[in-house]
Amino acid sequence: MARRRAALVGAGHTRFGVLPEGPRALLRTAVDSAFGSVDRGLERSRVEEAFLGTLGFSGWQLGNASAVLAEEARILPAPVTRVENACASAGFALRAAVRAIESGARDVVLVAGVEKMNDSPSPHRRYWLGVSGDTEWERLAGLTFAGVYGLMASRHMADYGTTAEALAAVAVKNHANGARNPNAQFQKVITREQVLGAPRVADPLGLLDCCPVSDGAVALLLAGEEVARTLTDTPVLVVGAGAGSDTLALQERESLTSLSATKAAATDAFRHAPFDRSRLDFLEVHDCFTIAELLALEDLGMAPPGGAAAMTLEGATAAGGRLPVNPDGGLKAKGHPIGASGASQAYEAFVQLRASAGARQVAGAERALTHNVGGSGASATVTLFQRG
Amino acid sequence: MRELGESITHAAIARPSGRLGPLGVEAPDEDGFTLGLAAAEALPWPPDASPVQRLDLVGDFPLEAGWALPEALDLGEVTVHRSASGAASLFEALRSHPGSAPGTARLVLAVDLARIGRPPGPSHGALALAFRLGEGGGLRVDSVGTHVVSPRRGSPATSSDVRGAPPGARPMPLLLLGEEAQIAAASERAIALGFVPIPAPPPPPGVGPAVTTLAGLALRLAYGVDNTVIEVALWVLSPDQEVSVRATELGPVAWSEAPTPGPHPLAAPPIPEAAGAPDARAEGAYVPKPRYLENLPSRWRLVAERCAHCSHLTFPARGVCASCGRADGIQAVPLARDGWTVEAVTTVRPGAQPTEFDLYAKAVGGYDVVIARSREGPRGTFQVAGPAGSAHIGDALYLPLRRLYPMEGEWRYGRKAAPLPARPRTA
Ligand SMILES: [Zn+2]
Repeated sequence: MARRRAALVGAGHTRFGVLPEGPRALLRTAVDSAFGSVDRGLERSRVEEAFLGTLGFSGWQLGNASAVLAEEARILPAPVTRVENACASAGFALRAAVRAIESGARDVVLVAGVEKMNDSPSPHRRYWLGVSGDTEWERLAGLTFAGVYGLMASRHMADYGTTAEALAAVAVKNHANGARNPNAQFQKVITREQVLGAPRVADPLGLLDCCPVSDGAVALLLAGEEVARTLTDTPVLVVGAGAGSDTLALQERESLTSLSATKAAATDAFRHAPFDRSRLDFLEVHDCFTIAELLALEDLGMAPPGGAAAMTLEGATAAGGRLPVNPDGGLKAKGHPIGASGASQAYEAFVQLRASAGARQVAGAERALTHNVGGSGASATVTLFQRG
Repeated sequence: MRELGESITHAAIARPSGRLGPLGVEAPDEDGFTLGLAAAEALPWPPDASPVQRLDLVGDFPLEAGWALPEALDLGEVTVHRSASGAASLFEALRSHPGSAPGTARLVLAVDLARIGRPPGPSHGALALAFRLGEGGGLRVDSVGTHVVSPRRGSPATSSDVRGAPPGARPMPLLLLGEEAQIAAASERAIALGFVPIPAPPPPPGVGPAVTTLAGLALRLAYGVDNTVIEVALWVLSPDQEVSVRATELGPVAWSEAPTPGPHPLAAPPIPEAAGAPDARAEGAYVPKPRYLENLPSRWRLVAERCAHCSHLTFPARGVCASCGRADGIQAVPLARDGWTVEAVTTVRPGAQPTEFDLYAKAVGGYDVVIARSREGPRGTFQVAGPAGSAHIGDALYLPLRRLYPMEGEWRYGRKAAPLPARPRTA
């Protein structure tokens, strides 16, 4: 018997950036917008369950944040579960929703992700930016995530000859994409020289190798395929929902230049997928730092180990290239409100595969992959989408 | 036959790697505990050495050192005795203790740090000394005389504690340690008493000008005439006290020095005085104290665990094999403190550090962090105690214990990584 499939039927996205609104207002905006995007409309009472991705950055509603979503989405008394896997929180929330639908337990499920990061002063932010790494060994050696990815970048450079120019090319490309995304935090083009000349943060990474600190929320509405087809003529099917884990600390891992959680998640996602890697039209990968996009391309099997730099430098991943990567600007330019990023990637799949992405539309896109990483790779999801 | 446990057989010194602030003495991550431990770790510890039964801590050790030093040195059951800073306390600790049982091995650690609030002068500095006392001894402290100098009358040369050499004995060298003016006055009296005064030697390269009297003593012993200790009298002079010591040479004392990296070229502003005290307001990813204590064997002594079933070496230790998952037949094995090879490195610039390192980052202007692999196999992640940008992939580093950050009114400590000094050991 063919497995029941889940489909996206609606998606809403606030602007990402330094925003005046608080988390409640952001959630309300994203959810309202998601309901508004369902072609034939959807009664809120039909939402049977919801999943919320959030880190609770700066201590915002660390406990019971789920209730906030239930209130703001006006879906009381539907059950809500908060999912926290650092930057992959929404990726895992989405996966939980897909499983609930695939299993037949639910017909209509809401997924939301939110983070409000710019409310707190800088020291408080730096405290929170490091809480998702290995606390007892990495953080107490003086690392935050920039440092952890700086370590991986140094080793990638030593092993494969990856250059600062290749890292800069990721930033330049994603900013060019972000300039065409009205929701992006940075909608301006930057140059290679600006990236290379930016102040250093955690060598070899500079300020423009790092994603910004962002506020924002995203909401997704999912339904069982047969229900979805009653709500819209163009659902976006979720045809793979893989995930994987790895050790929290980098020092424990076999390789410092590869995230095995990504590899496991990809294997998991493609196991029952109706297509293979070669059929993908674009990718949304987790580029919290420029090096992370190169690691992702290699771990997802789009480039051989050490090969993502050349692929990027030759323009293959740019808009109009052989395999566009992060057409929405990625975390790098669009912004990275931690708990919302995984849902934002799915939002991009939804609008692209429905050919409604406007100026950044990937021509003829039918199949997409999204890739969401928690921290420095302790958790990862890979989700596959197909135009329905 | 001489008694066991009453004479110095091994001695070591450790000096701070950095110079920071107007006193120019204390690196931003070193204190009495880390210096004392560095000195103790520089002592040879053969596997068959008698277990230490008594530990004397002399001088500026933080409160926690009473339990932390035995933990860091894995001394097991040990009696700890503390005494105040200064040469008199040190020599009292080094003297025979009639109460100790024959064969008792003892460890005496002394630390002398510059005092906050004292004006900079020639007698400032920081240094730790470690002495192992036991069988086969080299130097025995026979007598200690102390004399409090009246601040009104002043002259230390009035002391009656320094007695002349016995009639008929060869002229006895007298090591004079202290501040310049006092030494000049004391020299005359030493000659009158029949001693051959020996002035303080020039400091070895990188040490800077004269340091505390205690430091001067150590340098004199370690770098003295022919690098050997002779039958000796010491006259240690300080502004408020003078100490005279008579010691007998029984055999050579093996001196060693902690592998302190060269001076830390810090151009950063000095750490404010208040930063010397733990900052209860420090905000950091919270590691509750019981979890910190639980990890100390791995954090301080680099204890790894060897699995009897698959021979995998797990570090940090966690009571279970990281490879096969068996918890039985696990054996604790400390990893070597040196020979760690850098596999990845980043320089964390000011602003990219976790908040608990704010003071440190401000003081040193950024620092390196490495993932390094031990000779035995496991990797670790360590902050580099040294200038930003100084560590490179492939470098071999050693792991000194350093102060990490303040939490809940106490400093937390852990291993950092540092290059071995390029300068040769002084012969
Ligand atoms: Zn095993």
